[in-house]
Amino acid sequence: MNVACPECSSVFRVDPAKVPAGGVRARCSVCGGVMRVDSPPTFGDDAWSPAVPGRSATPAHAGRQPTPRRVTPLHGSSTAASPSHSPWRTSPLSSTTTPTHPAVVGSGMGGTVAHGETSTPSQGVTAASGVGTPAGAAPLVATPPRSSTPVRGHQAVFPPDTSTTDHSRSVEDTPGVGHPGSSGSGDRAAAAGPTVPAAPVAGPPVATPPASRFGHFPPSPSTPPRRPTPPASGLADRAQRPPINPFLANDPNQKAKRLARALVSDIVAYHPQQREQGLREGTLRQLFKDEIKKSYEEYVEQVGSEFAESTAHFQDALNEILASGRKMF
Amino acid sequence: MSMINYASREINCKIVYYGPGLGGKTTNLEHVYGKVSPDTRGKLISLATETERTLFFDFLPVDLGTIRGFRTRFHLYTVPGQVYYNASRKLILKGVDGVVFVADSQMERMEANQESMQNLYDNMTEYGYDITRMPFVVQYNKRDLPNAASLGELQAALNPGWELTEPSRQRMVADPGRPGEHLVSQLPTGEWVERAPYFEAVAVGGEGVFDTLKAVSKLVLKSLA
Repeated sequence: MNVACPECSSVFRVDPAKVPAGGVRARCSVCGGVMRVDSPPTFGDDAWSPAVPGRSATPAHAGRQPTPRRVTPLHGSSTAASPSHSPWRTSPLSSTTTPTHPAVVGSGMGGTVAHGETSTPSQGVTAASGVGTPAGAAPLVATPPRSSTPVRGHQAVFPPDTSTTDHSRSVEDTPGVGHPGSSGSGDRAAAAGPTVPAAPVAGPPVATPPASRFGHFPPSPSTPPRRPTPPASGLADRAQRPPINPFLANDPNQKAKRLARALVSDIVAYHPQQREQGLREGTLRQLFKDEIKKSYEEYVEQVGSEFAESTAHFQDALNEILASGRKMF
Repeated sequence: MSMINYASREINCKIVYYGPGLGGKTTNLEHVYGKVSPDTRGKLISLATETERTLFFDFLPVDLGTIRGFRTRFHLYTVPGQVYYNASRKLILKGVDGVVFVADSQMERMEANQESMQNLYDNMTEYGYDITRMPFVVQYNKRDLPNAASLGELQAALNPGWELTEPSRQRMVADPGRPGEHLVSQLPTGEWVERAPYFEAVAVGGEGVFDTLKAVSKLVLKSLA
């Protein structure tokens, strides 16, 4: 059966057999919101047709569902289609691009730059390349559409549904449920009461240390929850892991939130004195009218007007970053 | 991509310094320009605003010796860092051979770093380039500032690495620049992950600038093989 998150409208597949008779509270792996999952009616699963929301779903939230398609063409206004080479024609050395002959960079690499590679033959160089990753990124790059992420997130809570399509990286790609340092939905969910057993983060932490000092990191699905909770076992443990590389994941909501905050952060970074004055005199709105307008236009261009208007990411960023936490926008 | 001119026996490579605004990309190039002998460098071209913020790009050609009779010339570019200059950034990224991501270590700029990194991944993908298979190094600049984030935090946020699925590559690879650290390692959860080499820098003082440049140029030359 399917259950929709009342907060973000993400739809999850749930194995009805795993839902206790009295129902259960579950945490959305996308936004961290808590939803109620009731046991299916006894008259059959037909009643749980796709997109049937959980009982606690409120229609008012339906409009908040992001529109990934609008986010996809990030930076769509760029000149990607016809990038000109003109900027670097300043080089007098331009020539036709030709595949490198092995002899060119073979054993002669002991030039000024090669640093000890003097006798390294070309094949050795290839093997020793420190950055190349022939296949490592493939599964990550092929991030499934957003709608499939919650499905995989669901697998954290319930045993995998064989009807889901992505299996190979379901665990690693599964977003977390919030960031401990944030004031976002993760905390909200935690305060909402007990959840299904998979909610706490468990298992050995990812090798990279937590970004705990940056409490303002987006509490989004791909930002890992880093709570020092005791290990849980099996699938639930693995499913709570964040994606190894969030930059290779595709989470429109997180991208939009981060974009908004980065745009506002730029305003602050480029106009520190003006900002101080605005804070002091309460004139931020007037002083940064043009900058805010320009940044918002960029934001809308990248995420789409519908998404921009249906979320408060940009406004939140203005209040938290530009206005130092004061509600001025 | 790198251009090899057999007639004039020259190899030209393009390295782009990417990163958030005010992170120190131009400062990196200025330091290189100031330290490299005039015989081995060209003119530093900078298209900047009145306040010396990079408007389009900086460009600096540097000769880095001869390989088998081929003169190697690296073209160093920076991009404008501010979010809304993406069209310029993307244009400059075209044909890149190696990327240096110059991160601003200040905690306040962490999200700008992340947005810029995401933008780099996105733009590379849109060109069909795979950043995980290209010469790519990360420089954490402004390490001298009191509000600099720790290396662990920066690494976690900006250089989480990517999974290696090829069994032949699933072996520990030490980071030559950092004793005790690894470029390829296995997570406690079992996955093998490769990370980009990273360097600390204080570009205004020149610290770490040439370490970064050497590392990326070395990777570029290796990639030509």
